[in-house]
Amino acid sequence: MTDHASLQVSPKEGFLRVVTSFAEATGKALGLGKAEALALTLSAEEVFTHLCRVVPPEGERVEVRCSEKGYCVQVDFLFPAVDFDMRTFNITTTVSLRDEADFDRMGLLLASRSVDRFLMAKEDGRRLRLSLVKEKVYPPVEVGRPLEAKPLETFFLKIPDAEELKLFAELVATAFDERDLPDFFGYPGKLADMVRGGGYRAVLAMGSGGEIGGGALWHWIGSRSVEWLGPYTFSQRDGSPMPKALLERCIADVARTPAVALVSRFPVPGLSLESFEYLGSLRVRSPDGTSFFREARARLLQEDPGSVTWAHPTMEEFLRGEYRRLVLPREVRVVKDRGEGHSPHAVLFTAFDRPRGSVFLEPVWFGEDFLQVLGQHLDLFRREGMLNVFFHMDAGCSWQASFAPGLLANGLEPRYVLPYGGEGDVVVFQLDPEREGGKDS
Amino acid sequence: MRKSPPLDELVPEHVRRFQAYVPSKPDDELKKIYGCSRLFRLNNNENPLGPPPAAWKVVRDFPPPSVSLYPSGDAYHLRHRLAERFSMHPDQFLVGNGANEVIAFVIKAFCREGDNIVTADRTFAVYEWVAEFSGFEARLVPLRDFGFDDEGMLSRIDERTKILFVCNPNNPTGTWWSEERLRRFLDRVEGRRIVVVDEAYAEFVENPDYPDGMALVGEYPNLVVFRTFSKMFALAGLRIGYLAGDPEVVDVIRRTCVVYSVNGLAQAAALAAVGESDEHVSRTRELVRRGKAFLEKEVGNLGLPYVLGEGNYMMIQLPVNDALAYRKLMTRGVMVRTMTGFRFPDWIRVTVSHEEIMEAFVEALGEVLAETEAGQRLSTTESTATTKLACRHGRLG
Repeated sequence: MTDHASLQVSPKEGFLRVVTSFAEATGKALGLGKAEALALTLSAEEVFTHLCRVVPPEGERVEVRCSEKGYCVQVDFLFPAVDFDMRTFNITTTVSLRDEADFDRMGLLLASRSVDRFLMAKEDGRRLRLSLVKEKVYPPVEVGRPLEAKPLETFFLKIPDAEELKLFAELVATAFDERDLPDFFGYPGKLADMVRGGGYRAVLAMGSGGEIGGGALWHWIGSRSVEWLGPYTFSQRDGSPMPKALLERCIADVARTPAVALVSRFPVPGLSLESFEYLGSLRVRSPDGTSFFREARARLLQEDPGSVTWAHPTMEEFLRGEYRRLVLPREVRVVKDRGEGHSPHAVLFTAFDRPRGSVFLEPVWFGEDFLQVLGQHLDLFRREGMLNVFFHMDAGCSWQASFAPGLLANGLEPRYVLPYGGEGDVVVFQLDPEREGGKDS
Repeated sequence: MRKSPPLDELVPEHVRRFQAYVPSKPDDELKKIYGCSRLFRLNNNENPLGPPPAAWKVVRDFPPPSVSLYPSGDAYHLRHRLAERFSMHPDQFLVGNGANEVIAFVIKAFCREGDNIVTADRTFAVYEWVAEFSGFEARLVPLRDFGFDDEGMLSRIDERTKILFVCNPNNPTGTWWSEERLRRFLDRVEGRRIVVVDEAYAEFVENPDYPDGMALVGEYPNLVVFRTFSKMFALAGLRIGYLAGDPEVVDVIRRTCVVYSVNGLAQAAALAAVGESDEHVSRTRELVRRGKAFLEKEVGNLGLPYVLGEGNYMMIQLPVNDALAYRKLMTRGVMVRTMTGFRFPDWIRVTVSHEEIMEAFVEALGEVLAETEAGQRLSTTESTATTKLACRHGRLG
């Protein structure tokens, strides 16, 4: 179990110091370095200051929870549902120092830029939860060490300890193309903390002398999908039972859980193709000017009971075609604009993978200004030299269907459907790479 | 203003970790979403012959005014009939709303915080589920040669182990322990833990070495036997099952049970089924025997590995993931059980049924395999080597 602490305070500025001291001290106690703890504290300060303005002081108290997730520290603010100005959490937001109304938003802008991730969600149907996440800093993997691995005639599966995991990360980083790996393999300590924090599970195939022959990881994405990473095997002979044994261990772990799908977004050789269905691919451009296709595959873990998919008319044909191809029973409900009102401001969450020139967008809130907001985001990414832009749209959430025409109009194309990747299926869009050029490798 | 309860404070940690089981949709809905006009249910090991004639008659003639009356709270007449049938005392029986309910009764009766149960990893899921969502550890022992591993189970016992669950024959592999092996296991446990032997499919077994758990209750007071009316007696829709054991043990379990949970129609139909079952059992066994022979031949022709033990089902390994095969079979109006949830990825379990339904299943399966390039590859290589890893009427020991 990971460590955590919590605090309940009235939303009054007199408690500001209490909240910031709590965030800083707890952040440090949970393993953040001085700079990261200060950044988290700054964020917490700005959020609480804003809450003091919008939450009625005599009403319900604000709860502040601080918890360690292994490789990061998360601060959650839980407060009564109020009109919280989320638009400042758009990465593209700017404020004018001449406009007094903008001063209020300046704080939230700072808060959003000081953390690695933020998330807004409803909690128990009565409160909002704003989560701020700050990651720890880790030294990168030492590359270039010769790969010391040999075929194992016999092996056993083991839940690794931290040292074995770090060694495993080094082996993976050495043996596999960096493009085929999630970035955390470049930081062995981070991987060890991700597993220790409970977010990731790992298994290694080891020889009797403790040699590592291979391994795999898996973790939940949302409440109904598990992402499979592997099988990473080192110098094993063709036809080795190791990849299958690793996969079966993962399946045994998640088979009797609510997980509906096991997805693979970083397939490697050895992934049993007959076990995983081909979903589609992304054309990923590398900083060296080349590009390659990254496949996505999945297998369902249960008998698909069918579900509802919300589709804007512009997406209906694509979705129906994919569901037919994948034999996924879906009731496609077409969303139509009946003139109803929307929030004036759209909010997008942005995650950067700068070393690889990639950026991932997810909708947080739909608003009338979505086209403008998306355009601002794309301009920013272009200016910052981002090569790959992805957008994840949850087709299980009716409100997200409205993003589709704006995405298509701006050159984002649906590439594949990730079954049960969110509330429902997630449609993965990619900004058409042809617009930016690039040659295949 | 509407105020929701603070669920984060009210819900215990072990319940928070657990998610609700989502049962499959009703047949009419499934047919609609999979676009099929027929649906052969080969997923739940139901008896295609229906209930024994006497039980059928009870259901058909059940007087509507009776539904306004509470049923017998403890299935009085049924327990007496079972006592006659098995030469035991009525107090040695406890009737529940399906075997699932009696599993919960037993776990509630014997486990408290920190306790554990021991069972197999690839067996009927409900022992594990009930333990876990009740906050108790389920220690799962890997199957050995598709069967329960007695030594493995014994090695996982510690001072906090309260119950050992053995599914005999095992669902979904059909493997089973002989009387000699079961006795040896019970002797090793030395009466210090409760041993539950789930005999949900006992009536399908014809092998003389198969143990009659009921007959062993007198010798082993720590033995609790589960039976159900859902499988052989085809009363699954009425939800009725029972357990039998030593009077003192059953008295303890009774303290945790919910009275009036078994409805009057279920009790009346089960009473009739117990009274007149020999011919029904014979006819069902004959149907299962013929169906298995057909499946063994046809599945072998498809080049697929399979496990065919006791019970009215067969397990088949596919060269394609089982959930995809399920969806493709559903579009052809055939519903099977995927085995990933039983920790047998890429296997399906199919219920033995009437010949024409078995033919429809084999035809649909053949079409699905033909669609799968990988399936074609495997059917000519790996499968020929491993076909008949089968333990047909496999005897363990």
